[in-house]
Amino acid sequence: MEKLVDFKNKGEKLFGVLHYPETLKKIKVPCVVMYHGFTGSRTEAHFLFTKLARKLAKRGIAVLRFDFRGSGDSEGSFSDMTVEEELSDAKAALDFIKTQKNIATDRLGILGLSMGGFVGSYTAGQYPGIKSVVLMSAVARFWSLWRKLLVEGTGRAGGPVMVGGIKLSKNFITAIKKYDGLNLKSIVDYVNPLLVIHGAKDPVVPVEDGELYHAVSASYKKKIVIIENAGHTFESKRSEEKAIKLAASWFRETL
Amino acid sequence: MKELQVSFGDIGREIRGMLHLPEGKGKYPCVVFFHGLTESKNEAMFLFRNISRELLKSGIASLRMDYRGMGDSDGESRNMTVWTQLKDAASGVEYVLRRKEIDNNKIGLYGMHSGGYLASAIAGLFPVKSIVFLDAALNYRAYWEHKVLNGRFGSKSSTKKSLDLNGLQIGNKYLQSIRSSEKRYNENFKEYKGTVLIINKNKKEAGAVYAACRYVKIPAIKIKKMVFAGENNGLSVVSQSRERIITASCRWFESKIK
Repeated sequence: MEKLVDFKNKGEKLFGVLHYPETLKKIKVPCVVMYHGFTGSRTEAHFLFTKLARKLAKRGIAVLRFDFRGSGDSEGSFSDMTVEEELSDAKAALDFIKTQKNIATDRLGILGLSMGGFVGSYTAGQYPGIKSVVLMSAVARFWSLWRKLLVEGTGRAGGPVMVGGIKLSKNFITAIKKYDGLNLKSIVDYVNPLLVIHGAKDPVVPVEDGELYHAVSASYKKKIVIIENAGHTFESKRSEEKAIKLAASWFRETL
Repeated sequence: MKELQVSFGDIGREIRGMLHLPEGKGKYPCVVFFHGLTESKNEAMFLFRNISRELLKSGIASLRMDYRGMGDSDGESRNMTVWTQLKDAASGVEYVLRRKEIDNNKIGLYGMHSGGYLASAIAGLFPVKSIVFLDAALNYRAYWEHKVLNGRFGSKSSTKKSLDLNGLQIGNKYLQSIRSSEKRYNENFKEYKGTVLIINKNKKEAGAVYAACRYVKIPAIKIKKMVFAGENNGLSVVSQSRERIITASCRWFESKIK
């Protein structure tokens, strides 16, 4: 069952889809909350999140996919989006899922992709009681990534930042600097299972970012899988199937 | 202003979308958006969403929806064909015609890339007043032959049964349906009596869309060429002329369906 849902945070309405296992309506089920990447939405590229959510629902795990403020269908403007706002939305999504019927609130998981991985790693250490985390192509060193993009993109750092024809606010860069490194401090406080999945040929977020998460993590059960020949969003049938299978089996095992 | 998530169609085969309604009780003009293949109801960098929000300021409602097999809608992309897309596109128009907030005599369509093909194929079946084609692929078969299949068939991850478009599986029956839908498409488009605005990143492509519209004798065609410096630098029309596209689209519908 896929239900269209919405919840409010800091004055904006956020829209999402709640996937619920078909056969287990009367019992409490675990739930994974998905955080999409920068310029992405709750379906993610080639509908990776939609497909993974359906797979998890088949395996008895509920999923909430939602659009961060300014992205996808959610209220707000993309140019006002910052990582700080996304961290707030990420927490609000977890609070929201706890209010839903038939969710086992002590069995919540997080999956984050790219910038959503940064948001997920930070949230995992801050939000009490997260039981399992999967980081896909996750950004670990946010400022160094953006500094590179700024220099390559405009030839200088300090001018207006344009992405896909949309101007980002100064606050976007300020927030990256403010939170840079805090994700790595935060993930150390998270001790439950962590799976890191990264494409060996990720041209956006270097594979070293995934390795860094795995290295600093204090989880009692942690694993890193680097998928050969895979790009940033696992954009081929083979690598996508592999990423989906890994994440689905991980949550099945750890939630 | 109201933005609602909506779904329609049979259980298990539901189409999901976003309905934007102006504030108040009146009956409103409405635009239905058709996205391109591999995209979703937001389109690249949320272009469709931003046009929808701009239309609201002029008191125009809109529906953005995912075809089955795409985005949030039920189904798998490998089962999608042009026929299922046409059916879904028509369901979208039927859905807004059923809503009491919508003025059934003031319907517009918006088609980007292959969504333009779908818009042209169903416009004649409904009381559609105007269409905006954005970088539309009206000659859809030629579009596939030249742009999509070129260099992709036989790539490692493509199998005989499906085509791997950067992780999105498109079945062979989709390719077959492009050919089989062509005749019906031409017949349907001939029935369309409204106006057309063509927005394209270059003159040549705009000319091709114009020729297709002339062929079916559309009475009023306006071309808006989004010509800019560095046209061939590989960036999409969306990132380069985003604000101009939004403004041109909204002013057009204000003058044609309001």
